[in-house]
Amino acid sequence: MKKYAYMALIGVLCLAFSQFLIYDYAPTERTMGYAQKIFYYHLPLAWWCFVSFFISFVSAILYLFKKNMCYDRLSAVSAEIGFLLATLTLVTGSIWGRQSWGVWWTWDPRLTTTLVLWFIYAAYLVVRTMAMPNEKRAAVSAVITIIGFLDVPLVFFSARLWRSIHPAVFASKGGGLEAEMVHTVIFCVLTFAFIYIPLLAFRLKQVQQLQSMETLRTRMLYEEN
Amino acid sequence: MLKTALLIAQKDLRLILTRSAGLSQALLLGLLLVFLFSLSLQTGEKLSPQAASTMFWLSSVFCQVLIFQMLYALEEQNSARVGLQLLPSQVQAVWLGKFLAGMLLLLIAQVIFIPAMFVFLNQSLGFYLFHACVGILLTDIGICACGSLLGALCVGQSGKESILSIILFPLLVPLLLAAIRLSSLGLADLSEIPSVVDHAEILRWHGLALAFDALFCSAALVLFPFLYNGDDS
Amino acid sequence: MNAIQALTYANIAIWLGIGAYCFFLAKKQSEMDRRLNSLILQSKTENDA
Repeated sequence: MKKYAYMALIGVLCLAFSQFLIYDYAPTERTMGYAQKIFYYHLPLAWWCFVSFFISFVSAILYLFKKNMCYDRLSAVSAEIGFLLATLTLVTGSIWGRQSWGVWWTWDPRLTTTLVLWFIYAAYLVVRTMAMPNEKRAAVSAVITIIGFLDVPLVFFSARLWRSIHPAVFASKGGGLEAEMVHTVIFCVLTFAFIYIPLLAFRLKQVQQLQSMETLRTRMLYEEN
Repeated sequence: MLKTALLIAQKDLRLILTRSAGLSQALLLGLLLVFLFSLSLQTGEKLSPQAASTMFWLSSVFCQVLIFQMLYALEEQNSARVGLQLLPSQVQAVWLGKFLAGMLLLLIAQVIFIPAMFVFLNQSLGFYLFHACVGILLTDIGICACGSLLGALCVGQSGKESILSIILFPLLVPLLLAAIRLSSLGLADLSEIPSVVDHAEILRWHGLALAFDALFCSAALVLFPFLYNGDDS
Repeated sequence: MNAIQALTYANIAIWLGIGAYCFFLAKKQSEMDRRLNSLILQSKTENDA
C-alpha cells in the first residue's frame, strides 16, 4: 500500500502543477473563453470513467469463468469509482453545455452514452446492496456489468443517428486544439491516473478486509456453536 | 434445445392464459399509461407521431417487465425451478422458451395498445407502415431477449419489478430510439414528414435494431446459465 | 452565469464529488475498525471463558 500512498502524493503535486498549465500555459479559447477550461478536467474524468467500466467488465468476465471472489471485488470497486467519475463527467459537461450552448442537456452522443452508463451502474450498485448469497450477488453483478458494457457502442451509434435527424445546432467540442492545449489535457489525464489508481487500490483493500472480517466472524460464530 | 424451449413456452402460455388474472394485469397497466398520458392533450389536439410512438413503447416496456416477472414467478412455488434445471437439455432452452412465450404475450398486448393509441392519442396510419411493422417486430425481439435474461436475475428478490425496470430500461435505450423513430414513420403521413425520408436512414435504424437483437441474444445464450442455477436466494 | 462562474462551479462540483467519496471511504474504514474491535473483544471474552 506504500507505493499507492506515494502515487497519491505524486498525484496531488501533479494536480497543483496542472493548475499552472490550465490557467497560465494553455491559451484561452477564442469562442468559448474561460469556460472552455472545464474541458481540462471534464475529459480526464470521462476517460477514467470509461477505463474504470472497462476494468469492471473484464473483471466480471474473469469472475464468471474463474469463480475467484477477488475479481468480483475488483469489478465492484471499479464500478463504484466509475460511477463517481461518470457523475462528475455529467455535471461538468452540463455546466459547460449551459455556458457554451445555453442548454443544460443535449442529445450529444458522448453525453448520452455517459448518462446511460450512469443509469446502468446505478442499478448495478443497487443490486450490490441487495440481500442475497455472495456468490449469487457476484454472478448477477457480473452479468449486469457485461451486458451494460456491451450496450455502450449501440447507445453511442443510436444517439449519433438520432441527432442526425435533428440537425446539430451545436458545434462539436473536440475540434482544433492548439499544441499547448493538447499538452495540458494529456498532463491532466496522467494526473488523474495518479489519483484514480490509489483510490482504486485503497477501496479494494478496504473491501477485501471487510470480507475477511465477515469470514472470521462467521467462523467464530460457528465455533461458538 | 428447440423442442424443450417450445414445450416450456407452451406450458407457460397455457398457465398464464388460462388463469383468471393472466395477462390482464400487464395489459391494464399499459392501457392506463396511454389513457393517463392522453390527459395532457387539449380537446381535439393531435399528438405528434414521435410523442405517440414514445408513449406506445413506454407502455410496451412496462407491460413487458410485468410479463417476464410473471413468467419467471411460475416456477417459484415448491422449488419448481429445480425441476426445470434438471431437464435433460441445455439450460438456455429455458431462456428461449420464456423468450418465445414473452414475445407472444407482448404481441397480444401491443395488438390492444395500438388501437388505444389511435383512439386516445388521435393518431392515424401513416405512409411508412411496412417499415414501422418491421421495426416493431425487431424491437420486440430485442426487448424480449433482454427481458428473458434479466427476468432470471430478479427471481426471488423483493422489489423485483422495480429492480428489473431500473436495470432493463437504460439497456433498451438504443433499441427504443430505433423503435420510436421507425414507428413514428408509420404514424406520420407525408405532409407531416418534414423532408423526403432518407431510405438509407431507415435501413440504418433497422440495422441498429438487428445488431442489438443479435448482440443480446448471443449474450443471453452465454450468460443465462450463470443466472439461472440452483442457488436459492 | 458567466464563463468564470461556470468554471468555478465545475471545479467546486469536482472537488465536492471527490471529497464526498473520500468521506465515504473514511466512514467505511471507521465502521470496519469498530467491528474489528468488537470481534477482538468477543474473542477475548471467549478465551477468558
